[in-house]
Amino acid sequence: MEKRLYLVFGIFLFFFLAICLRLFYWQVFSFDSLKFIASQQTNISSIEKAARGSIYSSDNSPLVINQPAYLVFAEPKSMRDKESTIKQLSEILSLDSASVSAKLNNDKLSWVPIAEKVETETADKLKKVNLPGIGLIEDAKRFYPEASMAAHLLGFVGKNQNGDDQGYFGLEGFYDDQLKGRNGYLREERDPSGNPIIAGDRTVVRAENGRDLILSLDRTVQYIVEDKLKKGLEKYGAAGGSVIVMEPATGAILSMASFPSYDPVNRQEFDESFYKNPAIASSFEPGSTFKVLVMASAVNEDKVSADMEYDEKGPVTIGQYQIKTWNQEYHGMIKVPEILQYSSNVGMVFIAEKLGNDNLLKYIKNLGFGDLTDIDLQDEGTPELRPENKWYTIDFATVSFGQGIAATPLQMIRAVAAIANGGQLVQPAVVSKIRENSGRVITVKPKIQKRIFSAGAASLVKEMMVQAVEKGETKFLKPIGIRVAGKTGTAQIPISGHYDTEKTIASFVGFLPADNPKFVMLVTLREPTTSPWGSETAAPLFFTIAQDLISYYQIQ
Amino acid sequence: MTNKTEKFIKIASLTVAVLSIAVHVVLFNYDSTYGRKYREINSEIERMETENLILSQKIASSSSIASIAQKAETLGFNSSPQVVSLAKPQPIADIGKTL
Repeated sequence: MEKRLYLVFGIFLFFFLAICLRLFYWQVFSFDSLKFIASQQTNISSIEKAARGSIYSSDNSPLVINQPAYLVFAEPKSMRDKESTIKQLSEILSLDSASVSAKLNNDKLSWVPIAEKVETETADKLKKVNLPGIGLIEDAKRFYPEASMAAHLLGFVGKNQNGDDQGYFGLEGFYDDQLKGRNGYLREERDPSGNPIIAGDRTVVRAENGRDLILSLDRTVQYIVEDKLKKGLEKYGAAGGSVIVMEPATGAILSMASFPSYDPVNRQEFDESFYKNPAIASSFEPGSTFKVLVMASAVNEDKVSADMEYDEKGPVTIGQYQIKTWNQEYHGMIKVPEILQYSSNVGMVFIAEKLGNDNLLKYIKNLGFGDLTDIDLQDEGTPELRPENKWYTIDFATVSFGQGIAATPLQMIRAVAAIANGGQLVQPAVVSKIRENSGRVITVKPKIQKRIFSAGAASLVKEMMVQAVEKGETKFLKPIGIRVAGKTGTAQIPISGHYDTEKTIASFVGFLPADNPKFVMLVTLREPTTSPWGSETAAPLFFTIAQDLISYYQIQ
Repeated sequence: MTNKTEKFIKIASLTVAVLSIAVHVVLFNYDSTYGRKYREINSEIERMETENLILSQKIASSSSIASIAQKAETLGFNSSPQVVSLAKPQPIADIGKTL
């Protein structure tokens, strides 16, 4: 009897020791690996996506904001009726059923994205039908309350090579780092139902939303400009055109419009060539508008004065070339201001000769031609200036009336602004304030880069420009009672080493009121067909826009 | 130590142990339901944020300048009229076309 009792005791003891050893093995030797597995099952990590910053016009009206959107995904193995799911998905998402079918019938994938940036309305339809194996992940996409207004200036948000949102062109591209913010991170323990365990391990890094941009752009001015430019292109039969309106004293861009343009929401329907902003990336030969800059340079160097005379007796010969006036008219003895008034090419050759080749080149470079303006927009370009040793006598002559040199509209308006503001070259800028997540507002101060002309020289040339408007080809267009300083321009388009005989770029640059300019504006029309002349196309358009701006700003 | 004291210590220790276990269980049980509430509150916050975004979108749309211009036109407002000076001659280009 006693032996049996000892035997049973021994068996129980054996199993007891075996269990203890096993527990010791699990709780001591395998502690780390088991803890890791448990942690994998209970600790869930997720990324808290940062909201992209918004863009506002000068009056705090939204130009670009975020709207809720969804990523639609499928888990093919969880789907019940594939054919029906494909059909319903294609209908609701307006997708080709063949491409949806290809994704869902791929056996190698357990999770597949079907559509990105799906709007709330469409997502609600999906939620209603409640298809098994189909899910939604919250995301956001850009919304443009003003539709395609200022599309070139704003840019758009696409995907980079990692599949993350990234800004391209314009402000979205230039300020991408500031707009995108920084994603957050959450790691917490969850129970089997997916509820967080409050007392458990928790690591939280809050997302930092992107900063908002507040522009100097006035949306009313932008609306006026775009409306008039669109109508102007139709009226004058032009292939394209740009208008820039800028504050001459600060370089603040009040409006920037170019057509043809594109719709940032449906940009896939437009060729990529439309995405570039012609106002900052395309170049043109400025023609007669450049004359004001050469005149200002000569006046600044004291090489010419207002009462100096020039004998406009006929064409001027330079080597094998003959330079004529635009209308073959010659007025005999004229004063220097009348050279601008008559837009005399031969008169400008005289001015350039007085200024001197070295000085002329120096002023062209000082005025920023051949260099980027550093405006806060992505994809600004600049045509290159001919190297110094490639400038010949004829080149100095033709550049005096704006041919043989290329510039972007932005470079041109910035240079003319130096006359309007009393002689200073300013850096153009679109953003005036940046608002942080905390509410703190950073003001972007205007940058005055350097003084180009003396105040006296700028003032004199300004008066010449006023006279050019009041007595020149645009005298019937200017509004009564307001002094406008301006200059027309008509430049031939260079094609394969020679100039096209019929096509031109018509332009007008001006600022008003002349004595204390509220704005400087440049209008360029590419290949107008009703008339090649700036005085008959770009100038009337300038004054049409100016009329509305005079009312808007209550200029007297 | 007397028997009574020993007995008292044993009972007291047992009572404290049982109470600690009970409190531990109660607290963790209580705490476990907070996770659900926390999740519900978070979902509610997300729902309201989405609703706010949608409302902001609607407000921005209806206060867009194109909408305002359209409403103004419907109400009978005109943009500033073109200024035509009758006293001055027509522009030269137009004269050229009419002759």
